[in-house]
Amino acid sequence: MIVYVDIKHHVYASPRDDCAAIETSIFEGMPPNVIECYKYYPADDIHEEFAQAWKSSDEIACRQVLSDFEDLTTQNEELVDTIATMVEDLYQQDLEIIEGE
Amino acid sequence: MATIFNMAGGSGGIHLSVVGGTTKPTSKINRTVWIDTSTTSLTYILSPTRPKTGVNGLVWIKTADTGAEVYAGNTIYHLYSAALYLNGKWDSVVGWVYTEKSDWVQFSKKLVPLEYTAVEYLESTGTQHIVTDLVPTNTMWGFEGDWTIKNSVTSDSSTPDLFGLFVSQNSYLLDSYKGGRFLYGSKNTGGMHKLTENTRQQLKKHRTIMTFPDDSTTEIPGVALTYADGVKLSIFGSSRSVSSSGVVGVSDKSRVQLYSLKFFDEHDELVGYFIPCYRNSDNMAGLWDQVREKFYTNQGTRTFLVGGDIT
Repeated sequence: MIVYVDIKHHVYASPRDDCAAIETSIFEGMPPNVIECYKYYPADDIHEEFAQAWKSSDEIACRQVLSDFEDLTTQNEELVDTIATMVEDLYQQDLEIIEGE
Repeated sequence: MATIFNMAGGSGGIHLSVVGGTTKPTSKINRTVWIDTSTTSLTYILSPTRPKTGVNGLVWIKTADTGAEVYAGNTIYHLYSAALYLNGKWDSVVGWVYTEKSDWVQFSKKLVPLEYTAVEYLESTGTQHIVTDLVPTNTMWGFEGDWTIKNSVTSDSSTPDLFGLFVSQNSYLLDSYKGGRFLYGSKNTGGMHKLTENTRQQLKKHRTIMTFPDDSTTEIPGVALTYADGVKLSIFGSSRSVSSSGVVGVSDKSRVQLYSLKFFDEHDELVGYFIPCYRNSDNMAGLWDQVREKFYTNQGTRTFLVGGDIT
């Protein structure tokens, strides 16, 4: 995945003018608002790839819960839309049956 | 040697004599604090929270509700830990305090050597694991774990393991299946189902008693364990096999923020104390075992994430 890193090593999930785009797998599976709690240092001749939180673990946990809630809200909205479509389809099928009789 | 009275520490009437040196002082003077360091010119501050800034040679003595007791009149102070500010950063140090009542008492241990920096947590993302040198000989082996589980604990289709081994039907394993369970011996399951995801929790087991995050307990019978040579316990997953060349096969890896993990043998003696840290020279993240004084790094793929620096 691509992350965006500013001159102070802060990570962003979306492109920004003052950031370098870097490809890394270290944040795979993490929500964008949690990724942005980390600083990132790419590997060089001496150092390993390194990602360290600069926000507190409490803040990161809150952001994780918020992200999970947003995911569930999105899933819920999609399910409601799907059910509405199914109800509408059934209604139209009933109408066709009634009109055909 | 420097005797510094605490004028700025916010603790009012207590005066300590804080001494730096690499050997414990031979003289016994009430309320002497010895800091194990080659830096001899020390100042100190007593505070429950770390000062925002420091100067070279400043010792932060953390006070808390528990710790080594020091009396000042009718007031009891608890010295909990000590950190020394040098070259722009705080580093935990070994600290002892002498009182007429208790003689010398150690109140601070160095978390990791100077070549490493301790961090709040080590986070796996489901691909990393660490193979330790521990081999439980009995299911009475205990542990104290402090972690935030990031993977689902409600799924019954996957069983991410926090640590353990399961070889030849001999198990000593903690997983996150349906709220967590402890597998021990031959196919025995200690149901607990009291772990939740995205919440920092502590789980303890000493000999046969497991203590859950809600302080309730259950009993886990003691069962002898025998393993073939080369089998060792893993963290962030579980050991399932060992090759002829000694490579331990690890599976069921978990997504966990690990704050600390201790292991105790069947006599309740500490046999492993794993502290999250990274090596300063190359930023390699891993676990420092305070018992073996050994640094363990990732033997899986990708890279651990780490929490903020701590003293």
